[in-house]
Amino acid sequence: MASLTSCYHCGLPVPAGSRFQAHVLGEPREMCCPGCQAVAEAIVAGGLESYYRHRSENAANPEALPQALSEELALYDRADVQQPFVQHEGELASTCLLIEGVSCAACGWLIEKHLRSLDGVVEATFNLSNHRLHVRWKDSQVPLSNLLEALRRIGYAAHPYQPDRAAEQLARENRRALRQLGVAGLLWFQVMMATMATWPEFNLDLSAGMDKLLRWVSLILTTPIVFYSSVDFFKGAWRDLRTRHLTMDVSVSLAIGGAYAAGIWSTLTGQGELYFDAAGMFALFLLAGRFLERRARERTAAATAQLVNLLPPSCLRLDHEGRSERILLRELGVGDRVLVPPGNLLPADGRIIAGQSSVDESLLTGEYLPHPCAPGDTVTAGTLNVEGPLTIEVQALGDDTRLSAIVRLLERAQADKPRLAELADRVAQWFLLAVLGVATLVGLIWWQIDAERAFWVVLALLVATCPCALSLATPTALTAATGNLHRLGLLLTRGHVLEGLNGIDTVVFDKTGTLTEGRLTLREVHPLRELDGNACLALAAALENRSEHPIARAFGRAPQAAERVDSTPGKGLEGLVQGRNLRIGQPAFVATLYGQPAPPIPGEQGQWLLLGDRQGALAWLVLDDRLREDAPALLEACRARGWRTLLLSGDSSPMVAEVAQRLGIDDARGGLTPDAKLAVLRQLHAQGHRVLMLGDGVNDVPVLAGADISVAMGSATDLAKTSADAILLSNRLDTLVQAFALARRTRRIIIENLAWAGLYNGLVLPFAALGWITPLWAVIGMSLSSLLVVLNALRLTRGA
Amino acid sequence: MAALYVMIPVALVVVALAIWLLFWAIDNGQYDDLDSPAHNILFDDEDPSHKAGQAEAETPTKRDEEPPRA
Repeated sequence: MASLTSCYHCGLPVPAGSRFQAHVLGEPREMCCPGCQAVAEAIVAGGLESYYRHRSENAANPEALPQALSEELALYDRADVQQPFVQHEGELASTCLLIEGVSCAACGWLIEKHLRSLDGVVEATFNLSNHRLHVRWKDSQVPLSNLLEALRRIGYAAHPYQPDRAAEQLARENRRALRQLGVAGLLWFQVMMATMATWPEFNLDLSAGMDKLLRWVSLILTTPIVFYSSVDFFKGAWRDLRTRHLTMDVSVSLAIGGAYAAGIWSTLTGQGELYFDAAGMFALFLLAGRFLERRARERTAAATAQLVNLLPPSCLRLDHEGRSERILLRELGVGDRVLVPPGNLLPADGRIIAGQSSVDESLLTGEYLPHPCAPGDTVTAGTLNVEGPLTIEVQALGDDTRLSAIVRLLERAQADKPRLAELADRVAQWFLLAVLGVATLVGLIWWQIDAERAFWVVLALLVATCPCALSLATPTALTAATGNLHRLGLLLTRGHVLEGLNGIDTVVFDKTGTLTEGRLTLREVHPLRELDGNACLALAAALENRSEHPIARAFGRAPQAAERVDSTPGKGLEGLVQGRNLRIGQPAFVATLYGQPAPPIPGEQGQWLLLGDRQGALAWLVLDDRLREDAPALLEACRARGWRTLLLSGDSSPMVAEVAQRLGIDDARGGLTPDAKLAVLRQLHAQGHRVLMLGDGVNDVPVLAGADISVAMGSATDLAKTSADAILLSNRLDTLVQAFALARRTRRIIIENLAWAGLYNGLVLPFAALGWITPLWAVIGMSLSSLLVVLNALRLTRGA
Repeated sequence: MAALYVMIPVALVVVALAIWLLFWAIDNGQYDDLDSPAHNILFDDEDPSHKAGQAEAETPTKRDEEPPRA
């Protein structure tokens, strides 16, 4: 049974006796499913085999991508649909697509190459950092839906991408930050050369005219560094001063501004030392630190800034005669009748008027078993129709749906999210007060001794003690740790997570999809007759393999094939396996096959399916949502840190208490609405607790948005991911345990860095006060201490 | 020393040029994707012009057959 081959395409395990194979790079390769096989064959047929030679990660499983029907893709050819995201220039159309399913750099090559090989495509460029594809093509020759379909054939899902204002602003800010950094760097090199020539250590008998020229050149070159590159520091300082805070920005501005002002004075009078290069270096180091930090964060955020697509883009509307027509969701009106095939999301809140099925509300409510439903029942937009086709009369759309109510709750929660104070700013405050105090004192003393030198001594003191290392201490450590966590599979999308993790005292978990797998898996097989468990499972799997029902996936792949399989929605499946007539499903449904009453269900938990043939019942199969394997380890880690653990679930079944008891969770509450979850969070905040929330569903979203720190599972809904501070891409809870440890190390490194920077400044202070520090020594000290701080921070890139 | 009176303005011009070039590159999107170019060279073997060049190099030409002369 245990086959260790993994799928050549996606890396998932290949079931024993798999029939799926493809010839890649001259050898037959095992595939796990027809999806992977089709994708691999399409790639090979397109002459793009080298993808497999150069890729560094396995591809995404094509069946895991959202379903897209060719009918739905065809909607994208309509001019009114294209209007917002396609631009036309002459006969060429261009658009930007967001690609799902990209796992490594080779994917980018594959996508570009494949599209370029299509007739009519003029240009295809893929940006690996934000997963956006820019295409220009001849609209008359090839419709957009063909391009989307071509991408799907090689295993990627493409969505039209409309840049929102936030994303555009981010891109603009990034370019600005890079420009500021570049200008500071290029100019500083020149300033350094010009300034250093005037220092006594390097002065080779400069003529008076040359000295004047060099001073003026330095002044001119430093001006853009101060007024263009450093403008954000000044703005930040001004903002903080107005709110009566002394932050890092204030001390940075003081150092840069002071050095610059003194430089002007010295240029005009032709005396005193020049500190322009110190100002330039300071600006460059800090801008570089902030740029790296921004890059690390933004890179991770870009990969996840996906569409918030909780609702399907299109739906099937029925007209008076019962004919269905595919329309865009926004064309739907209240009172319309909609056909929802099994496996599709419901587009609107409504009432069922025809059809028998069950609806999976797990994302919305946390209930892990689908609800059976019948005509007359109301259903909610964003839930999944599981079994049979449903006809629904639309009652609420868009902003009036229950789903939107949750989103509004999210916005409210976000508004009162507490802000964690940053260590570095608190240190900066004390530091700044100390330096200003000492500078005043030293200035006054020197005023008594030698009024001429007082100004220069105070200036040297300010520059020598300028908090370069201090300002780099935190961003470098955070950048290094963020990169390390990304490799482990935890993506930080907001900056305060690493520091905040150390202040947590309460952890709130969601159950379905977070502590558990969030999907039904086979728990047990109870054989009732001569066949043993494995044989019964094989028969059941053969039947279920022909079904689209999500339950069917729990059975794995069958070694034998079933014939003439017939599905009765809400009841079960019937078919022939090796000539044996079998039924699986609801006990009553199966019992009618052999004409005797069904045996009573022997247990409570989970979904019980009966398997039977004409002679009688064969076996019970129990499906259940299973705990994640690493959940106990995570709870252990929380306990070891002395944190209180809470389980808040929307699920009202006894499973909540059982999970809590098995994992040793302190407090468990089930059947909570999103409002109620948020109320619990508020109460915790009111008691002064700092809360970490781990969740995945839409019903967790308000709490995720309001918690001090929130982590969404990688498999979570997009809305949950965008409202969380971090995303567990690996879906492995033990990554979080590593993150806790790394957060501690990060804090230690930050403290070490701050301590070193403080120590350096403390040591240099007496020398500066005595007037022994020349610009050269100030610069050497500043570079060395900054270098030390950066190297120390780099230690965080290794280990976990 | 007098050379400096020429060199310093030249340095200023060069720096202005470098900044202009940097701004052009940034606006042109040259820094937007720093990840994929590093991987793209792996696929250069597939480039049609490279393949054509390789085929040309492999077909023995007259000059190759002549014995090398020192």
